Amino acid sequence: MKRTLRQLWAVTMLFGIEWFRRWPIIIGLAIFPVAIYLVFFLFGGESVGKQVMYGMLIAGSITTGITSLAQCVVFTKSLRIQEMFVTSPISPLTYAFGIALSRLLPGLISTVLFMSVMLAVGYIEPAKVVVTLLLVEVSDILGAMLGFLVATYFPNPQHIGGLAAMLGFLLTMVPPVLYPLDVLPPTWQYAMGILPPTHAAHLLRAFNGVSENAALPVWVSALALLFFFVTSVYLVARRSRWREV
Amino acid sequence: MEPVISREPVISVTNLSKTYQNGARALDDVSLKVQPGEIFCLLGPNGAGKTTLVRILATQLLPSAGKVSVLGQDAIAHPELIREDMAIVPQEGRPGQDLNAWDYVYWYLRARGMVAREAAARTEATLKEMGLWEIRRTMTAKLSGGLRRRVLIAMAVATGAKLLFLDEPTVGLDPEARVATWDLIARLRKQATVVLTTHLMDEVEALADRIGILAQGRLVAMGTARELSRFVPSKTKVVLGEGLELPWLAARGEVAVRGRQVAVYPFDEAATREIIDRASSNGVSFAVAAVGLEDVYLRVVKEHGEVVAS
Repeated sequence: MKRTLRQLWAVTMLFGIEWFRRWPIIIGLAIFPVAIYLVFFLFGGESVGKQVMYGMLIAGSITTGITSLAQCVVFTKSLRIQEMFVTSPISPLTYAFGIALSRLLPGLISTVLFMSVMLAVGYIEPAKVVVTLLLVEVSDILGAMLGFLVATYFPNPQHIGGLAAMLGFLLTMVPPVLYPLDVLPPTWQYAMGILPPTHAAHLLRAFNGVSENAALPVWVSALALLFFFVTSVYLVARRSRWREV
Repeated sequence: MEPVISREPVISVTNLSKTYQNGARALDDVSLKVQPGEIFCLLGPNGAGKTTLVRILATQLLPSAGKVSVLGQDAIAHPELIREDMAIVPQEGRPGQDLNAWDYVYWYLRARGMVAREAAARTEATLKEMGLWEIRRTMTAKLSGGLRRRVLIAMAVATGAKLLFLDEPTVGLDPEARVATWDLIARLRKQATVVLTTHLMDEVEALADRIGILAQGRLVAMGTARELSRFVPSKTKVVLGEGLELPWLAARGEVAVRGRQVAVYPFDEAATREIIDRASSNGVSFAVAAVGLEDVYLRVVKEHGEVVAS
């Protein structure tokens, strides 16, 4: 176990260091949601701005997870560095999670910066910061696993960026992430439940007391998010095979 | 009483075949053994199956048929038992942009499960040995192609693995860097068995204990450079410029046209003298040279139907 954790940390560092060094990207990722919030605040008022701000937490984490991980997996493979890990004692699952963490940690800095802004304007209570961050990270990991799966099915380095961006866009713009769940009729609320970001955003808003008069119960969202999380871990474990056929 | 030294092969391949899912047959009934401490070179034209063979041996690819034993274990059924003791430098592998040589070697060793102190010590020793110490903090994006390649080799070497696979390790290196890499590979013989693929004959001549030549997925020749020389009918060749009739030359030796030159492998000494006399009297440039590995390679590959660029 100790050795596995050491390997996990090493893969995270190996593929994450370069992102820590690209600090303008980290700051950019933190500034972007603030800018979006300001636009909505100016045109829709505080209640709309608040909805969007929570939505941006989920949308940002899922999109970053999908795009950065998909690109990382494909480029690591195309640079053929991955082959050096196959012929080594590290397991494919440790490698996959290490790569996921290598993208999540720099993303976490952006999230913390963004949440500091939310804290400063009073949109998050200090007591709720930890659980909120946890929910955001669950979304991030979900996005990363989706990105990993996309990369294993579409391993073309020329298309992976575009495909991942499209998927990220669909998963954050279509479901009620940037807009409240209750603007949809009840049937549509349940229909949107097939997309994981619906539940992440619903839970996040409910936990932070942002009003949503939704038909979809919060406990259903909690269970659904758990289901999506476990399923994606299972799929990643199945897809992360070292040896090609 | 003298101790009995085990010479169990490090690699034993029996009737190995590989057909890809698209139907392409990359390996066809290959059998070979690699002994401990050997530098075994795999030669062959592009698409001959060298990388496929290396990737199967390095547990990256499953074969379609055959048996593969590596370091005494069944490499097909139990790859996890041998990966600890193996490392590879992949063909055309290249490090990313925003990391330096220290990062690559150190974190790769840690990822293989090495504790921090040992990883740091080995990283330092390897970078110094490979002439990368002075540039250890320079981002790989700023390094030349040769130095970047050397970083990858350092990653594999630092592991201390018993078995190293080097897939065309000196491609793209300038002559000086190539020779430096050869020195390093030659020194590795003390700690590891090395399987090396290459197109470069001088590399093989400088390093190989034994050579395997692959053509169209088949292992068509194997042995030491000396043993392989039997594939060419003579020990010397006459390389001629244009001007002599090919049928006349073919009556005196085996002829190979290579661009604007003709190489003749004379049947005997009398034929050699005749060719030289006629070349001299017709003002055709010529040179007599010892038959080398390149001659063997070209002949063997041509015999097995590969199109070889001269």
